[in-house]
Amino acid sequence: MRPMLDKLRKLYQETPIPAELDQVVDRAVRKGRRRRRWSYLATPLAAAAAFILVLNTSATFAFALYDIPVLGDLCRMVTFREYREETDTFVADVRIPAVDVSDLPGDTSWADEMNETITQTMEAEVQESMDRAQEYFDAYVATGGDPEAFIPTLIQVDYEVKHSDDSILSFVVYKLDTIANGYQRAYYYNVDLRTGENLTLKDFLGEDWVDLVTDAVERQLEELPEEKRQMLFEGIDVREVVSEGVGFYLGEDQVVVVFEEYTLGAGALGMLEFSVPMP
Amino acid sequence: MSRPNEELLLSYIKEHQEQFYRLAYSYAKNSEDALDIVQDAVVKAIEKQHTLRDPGTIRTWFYRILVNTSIDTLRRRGRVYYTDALPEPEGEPSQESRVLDEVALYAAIDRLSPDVRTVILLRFFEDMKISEIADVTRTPLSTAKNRLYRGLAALRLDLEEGM
Repeated sequence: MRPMLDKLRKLYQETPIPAELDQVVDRAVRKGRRRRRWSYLATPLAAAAAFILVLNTSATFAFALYDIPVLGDLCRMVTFREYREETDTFVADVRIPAVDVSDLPGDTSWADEMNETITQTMEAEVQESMDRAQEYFDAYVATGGDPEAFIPTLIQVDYEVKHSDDSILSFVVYKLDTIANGYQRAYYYNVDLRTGENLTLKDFLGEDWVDLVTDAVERQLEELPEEKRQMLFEGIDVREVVSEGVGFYLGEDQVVVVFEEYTLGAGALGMLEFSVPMP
Repeated sequence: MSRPNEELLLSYIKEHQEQFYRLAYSYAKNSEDALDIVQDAVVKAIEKQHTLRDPGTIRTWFYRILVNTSIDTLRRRGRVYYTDALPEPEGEPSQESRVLDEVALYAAIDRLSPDVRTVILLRFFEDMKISEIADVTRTPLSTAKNRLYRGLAALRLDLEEGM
């Protein structure tokens, strides 16, 4: 018997709950998520990148500011366009690269074309993700979801230089989209700096490239831990997948082939990478 | 922290937001500040979610943030007149006046110092064990117990009610 305590509890439970509590909490969730993302980015490099954010609308200007010689003196990879866009339905962090060949001797007109392609491809990717985020949001609201509680889709475009020397530049430009698995896209570029040609697996591995890649992939699939092997699709024909074309980048005396999600197995496996030694 | 844990945190927050508000209100005593406290606590929790190592401790982890935010808000507002003793009833001391009714007693909780009040609120209204309270307030068990006794004595509540 705790009569007084029960009375006190009743008073406590009767504290009126203001109608705006729901909104306040949802706003706080979004704010927390944004801050969390930024705290991840709190590195000197990211700070430098944020500084560029507003300024680089022209290529020349971007090159001037972003003159980071990651590739030696002849060829540079620069961030050509960078922005962040935030709405109720999505948060987009976009960094689109370009190849700066201004110091490269010979005919470099190919670079303009390639940079144009990269920009257009990635902008189209971002647009696709934004549209999908909007559709997803509309469907969510149409089925009675509270718009205030909606967690925006994160869209990220970024790039990474994998290898560079006097004659070859290998890099990847990718898009991530948190709406679901299967919306990752990666574009691989392995550029011959003399001609601007995008090199193929055949160029690196020779006529037998399908055999070499298939063997390497099958061997490494065997070595996957059991819990990952179980997620592979049954009866997958690696040779067929490989001959249809597979992304790759250049490593040290090897090429690394990358299978997008859902090509070899369940989405939870993510992208799978396999190294193939160069003959 | 991975995404499944973030989902756990989000659903925990949405499920218990009214409870958070009541606790915040019992510190702030006005709805505007109480909403601010809940908001700040939720932002901090999401932002610092990686500090929740064991999802099993989500309740004490979140209440630690909530209680600290509440006490900070009180401090910033600078309204600090606390006494861990009840005012003597005025006039003729009669049998009835020695026993406070629940409204007066409820109001008396607000006059407890924040440390003591925290223990009383968590023990009575959030049904936490003393060990959990010690975890929330990051104090030794003996300190938490001591504060509970002080609170109960101040409120002239039966120790048996408290335990």
